[in-house]
Amino acid sequence: MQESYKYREKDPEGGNIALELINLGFSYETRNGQFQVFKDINIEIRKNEFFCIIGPSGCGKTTLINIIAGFERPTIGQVLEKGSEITEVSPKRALVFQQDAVFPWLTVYKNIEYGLKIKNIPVTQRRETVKKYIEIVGLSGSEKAYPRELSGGMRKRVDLARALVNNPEIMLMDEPFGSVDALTKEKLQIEVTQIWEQSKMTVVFITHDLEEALFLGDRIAIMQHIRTHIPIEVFNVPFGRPRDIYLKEEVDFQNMRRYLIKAFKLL
Amino acid sequence: MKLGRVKSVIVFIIIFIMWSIITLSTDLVRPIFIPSPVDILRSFIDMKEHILLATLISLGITLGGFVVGVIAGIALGLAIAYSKDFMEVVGPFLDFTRPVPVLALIPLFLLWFGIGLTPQILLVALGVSVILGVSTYEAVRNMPLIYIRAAANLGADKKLIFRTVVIPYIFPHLIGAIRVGAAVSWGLDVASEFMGAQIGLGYNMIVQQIYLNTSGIIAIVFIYSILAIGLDQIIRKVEGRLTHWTERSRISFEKI
Repeated sequence: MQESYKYREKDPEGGNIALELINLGFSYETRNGQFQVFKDINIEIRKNEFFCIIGPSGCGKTTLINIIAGFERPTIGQVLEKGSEITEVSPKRALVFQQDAVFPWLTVYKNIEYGLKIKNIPVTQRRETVKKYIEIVGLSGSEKAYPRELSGGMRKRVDLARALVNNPEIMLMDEPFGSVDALTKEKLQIEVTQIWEQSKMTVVFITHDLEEALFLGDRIAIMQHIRTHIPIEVFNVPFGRPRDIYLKEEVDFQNMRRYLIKAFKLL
Repeated sequence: MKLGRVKSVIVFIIIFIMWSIITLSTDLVRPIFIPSPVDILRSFIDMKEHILLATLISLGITLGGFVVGVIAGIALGLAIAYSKDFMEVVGPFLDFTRPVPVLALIPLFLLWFGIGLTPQILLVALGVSVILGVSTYEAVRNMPLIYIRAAANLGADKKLIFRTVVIPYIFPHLIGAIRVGAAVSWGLDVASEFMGAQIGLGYNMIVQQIYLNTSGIIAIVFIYSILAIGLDQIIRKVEGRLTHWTERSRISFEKI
């Protein structure tokens, strides 16, 4: 059995690059001095690819995605989008948070409408777009419901629709399915893949679930805790598209999972 | 729920019966300390000509001061939370003046404004605004960052975030302060009437006290209680309507 998978990439094929992470590092002041969260991150994320970042808790993945979104500035290095440095947040780089970020005081409809209202899009056009995305995420019928009346999975869908409705070029997702039950998680994985395949969008997806990353991603970056001194590495995911959920049961899939776990001491 | 209601009614009835028996058929207490229910009823009847006007005046002072105080307090709290410049300019001065007990300002108000309704309303408003101001500021400061970040990510600027995220979120958190403000406003009204008013419930209480008419005093206290309870109930009803999106439940512990 072939054990050596040639998935490591040193020089990705040039061409359309959505995001460039150049020599990225982040640290902050604590009472005991500077605490280094991560450093030496050099990655290129291509346009329209589904890019997963996987790593254990505390390795800095959330900080990394916050920097890409524009909520934090890196201590060293820069993130370039289409050649220019990211300095602030934008609806074109939509972030789906790990925690519940849906506004509890607004209905499902008004939550999803929020970004469109800011852009002063007229009511009738807003209604069309919102209704379209409510259908896409499978929440038809719940327009007038308040978040407290919805399950966790449904709230995540609202969050998703709220981000999608602004036609983002880049979707950033920070362990979005982390707090959702296993069955709903799989459903959401399938839905996210379907939505992504029908649109032109770069996705950066953070997870700690290796199977999820393998199922969803075109490439996976494996990020380790800084104390291990193992640098971040990017892998090609060899499975074709579109992907069936039963891919997870296939031998190749499980072999790859095992290989990655062993090679990077993920377990 | 029904059983709870019945229990509390029974408590009232028992107290009433004991009170009536002690004051009417025994000599345990002198009427000047605890009058009987009959005495109090008689006082109500004696006062009936001018009590309605007095009630309306006191109600006006209290409600007027309460509403002004709530609006001013919230506005001030929001302004300080929103603008760092504003906070730096105004903050230290407020920190210095806030601890001053409002009641201590009564003699000062008398000198500045004389006797009349305006200084009384102002006093109530001042006392209420301090409560609301601090609560509003703290509510904004303790707001979960995630909603603000989500709104910023969706394209909102600071002003819009304040209007569409901060204010709706903190509103249920202000209910407690608003109710405390309402309760406090009655006390401030009474205090303001004790110093130089010529009309009103508090003023009437002083008159009753001068004539050692305990039942008259208690009758007026009774009126104040009804008004205060009424205002509190109204606030709670309005609060219920406006905050149906929250996860609050009345008896959260009993749901475990």
